[in-house]
Amino acid sequence: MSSEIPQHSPPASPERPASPQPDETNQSQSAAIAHSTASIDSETLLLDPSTATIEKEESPRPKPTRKDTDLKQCWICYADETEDSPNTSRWRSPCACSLVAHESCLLDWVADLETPASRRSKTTAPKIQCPQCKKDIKVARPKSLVVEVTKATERLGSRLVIPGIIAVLGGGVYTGATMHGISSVFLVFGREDFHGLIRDPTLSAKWLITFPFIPVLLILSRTNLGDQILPTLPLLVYATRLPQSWISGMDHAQFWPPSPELAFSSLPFIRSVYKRFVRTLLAGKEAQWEKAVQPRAGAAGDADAAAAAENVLQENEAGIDIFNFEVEIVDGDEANIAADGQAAQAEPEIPAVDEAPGNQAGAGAQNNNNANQPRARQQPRGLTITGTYLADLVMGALALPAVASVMGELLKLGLPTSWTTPPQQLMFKLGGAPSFRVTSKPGFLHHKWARSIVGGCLFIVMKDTLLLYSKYRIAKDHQKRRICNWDKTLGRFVDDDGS
Amino acid sequence: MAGAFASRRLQRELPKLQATTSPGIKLVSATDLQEWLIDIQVMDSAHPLYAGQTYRLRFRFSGKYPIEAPEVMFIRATAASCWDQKPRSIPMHPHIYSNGIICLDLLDKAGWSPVQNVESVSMSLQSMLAGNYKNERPEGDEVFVRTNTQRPRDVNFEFHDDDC
Repeated sequence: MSSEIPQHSPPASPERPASPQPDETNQSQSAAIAHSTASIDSETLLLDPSTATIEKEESPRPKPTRKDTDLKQCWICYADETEDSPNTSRWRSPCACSLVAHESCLLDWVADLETPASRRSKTTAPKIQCPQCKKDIKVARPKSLVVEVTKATERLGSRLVIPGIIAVLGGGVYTGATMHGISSVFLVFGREDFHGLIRDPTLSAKWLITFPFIPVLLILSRTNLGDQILPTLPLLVYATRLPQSWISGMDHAQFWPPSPELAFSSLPFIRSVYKRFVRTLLAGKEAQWEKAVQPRAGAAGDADAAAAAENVLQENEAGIDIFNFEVEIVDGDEANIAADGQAAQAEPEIPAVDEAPGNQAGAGAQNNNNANQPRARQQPRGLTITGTYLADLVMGALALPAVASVMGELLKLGLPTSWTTPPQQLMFKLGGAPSFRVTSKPGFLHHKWARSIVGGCLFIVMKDTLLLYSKYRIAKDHQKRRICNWDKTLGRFVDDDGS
Repeated sequence: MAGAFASRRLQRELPKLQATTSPGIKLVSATDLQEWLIDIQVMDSAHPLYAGQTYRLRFRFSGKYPIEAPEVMFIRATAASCWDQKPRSIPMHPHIYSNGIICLDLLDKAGWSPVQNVESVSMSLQSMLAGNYKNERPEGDEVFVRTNTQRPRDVNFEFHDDDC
């Protein structure tokens, strides 16, 4: 038997638990308690009673020099005092406990701890601790400010990796947004006014902050969130009123033709009014049209659908969906619509018509289902947003300034020249348009930005009209669909309308 | 090639290990100072998983031992090559992969300390087995065994509370 009693248990490092499962050990302790004992570290089981007794007599960390207490033994190289030669390094006892070691061994060990490759965490300084008593071991070394600073910088650098990535990405987004804002202003205002705008020295700083908000506002304006935020913006604009020098010939006090600030800041209100107008005009017809093309046979997953619709409904209530109101109206009409549908569906081609008299319950369930479906389809309008919808929304919003600009140019081409060209030139070229002759001030549409606004608005109205008309047509034509028969004798499809 | 430093330390460990009375730990071979084989047994004769079984550990020492941790893993052996004519297998344990690689923090470079030695590592592994009643391999064992080409010391284990 040697004087060595090995350390049984790994010193559990403070930053992470040792890997043998403590909980399991605990179980096994209770199970094996009759003939075993746990070491103080509680992760080691000594399953032999004899060892256990010995272990109990000892301190939890056996001293390397337990038997030959007067004989020092290095805990790293295991050489003892008797092997000392003139070349042997000095003995060191770096902490209060009994571990002693050669200085050279300790320094080798410290060097290994400080090697970046052998460390897990590169962001913190390595902990040099006595493996037995966990006291810090102090290494005296010549201080070098340069080395200290370099090390500190290295640690800081590795700690800043993730914030750095975030900052770079954020900077990229900011730059992109600014570029988009600048090009939007260029497109909407046209070359001349744009140059006037950016040359104005008092503006530059403010615009650096303003530009990146342009795409943000554009995107917001396509969501329902915009309903609440956007109308507050004109106040901001007026709080930070633009200087008046950059567009020539504009009187900012007048109401018509309006100044650019007035025009642009009234857009949120125009948008709200337009949305409200469309909503009143349609009064839920859009949802009806959408519902009209839903498959009628969907009763299978009724319970699920109802539950889902319930969720969506709650979500909408919690959220900001303007369509709740409409859906309620549709609910009221539901029975009529369903009845109409069934009456119209006498033709055998239309799938899944519940005409059987015993199917009243089924038809009722169907009605519920249909009533719920428009809600489910409106999910993108609420807080839950699908990827395609998001992409569509963002792309559309970002493209709006360019579209508006193009529409403005088209307006210039389409409208009479006198409307769109400042009168100073008119007087020489044309004899007509007396109204423009008299006034020395340029009219509203004489400005590129004004044409862009009108063009953009026109585009939105046209787009909405087109979409709504398509929905209407699809809904209307839905009942007239037929499945073509394959005529075997002719060898081709026959569009047989049943007559 | 073990350096002089490692050799000296191993030479001092060897006689103690040969004379060891630690139950269930038996030095099988230490023909040189680079690779030692140790047989370990769980001394609990009622252990559902390991009772009556002997497992073989292979220690490999680099020239920087004990500053650097030894590479320790379980290895298989045929019955004929063993002193007790019983084959050695890889013990089932949630921290032991089926190729014998062990996920134990004290064998990892950050968990290793020169106070450890061959005997203490063997005892730690012995108690790691004794404390386990789960008849399972680590999560992702199949993938790890199939794809791992690194030596055990280079594998970067993530030590979680209960898992590797």
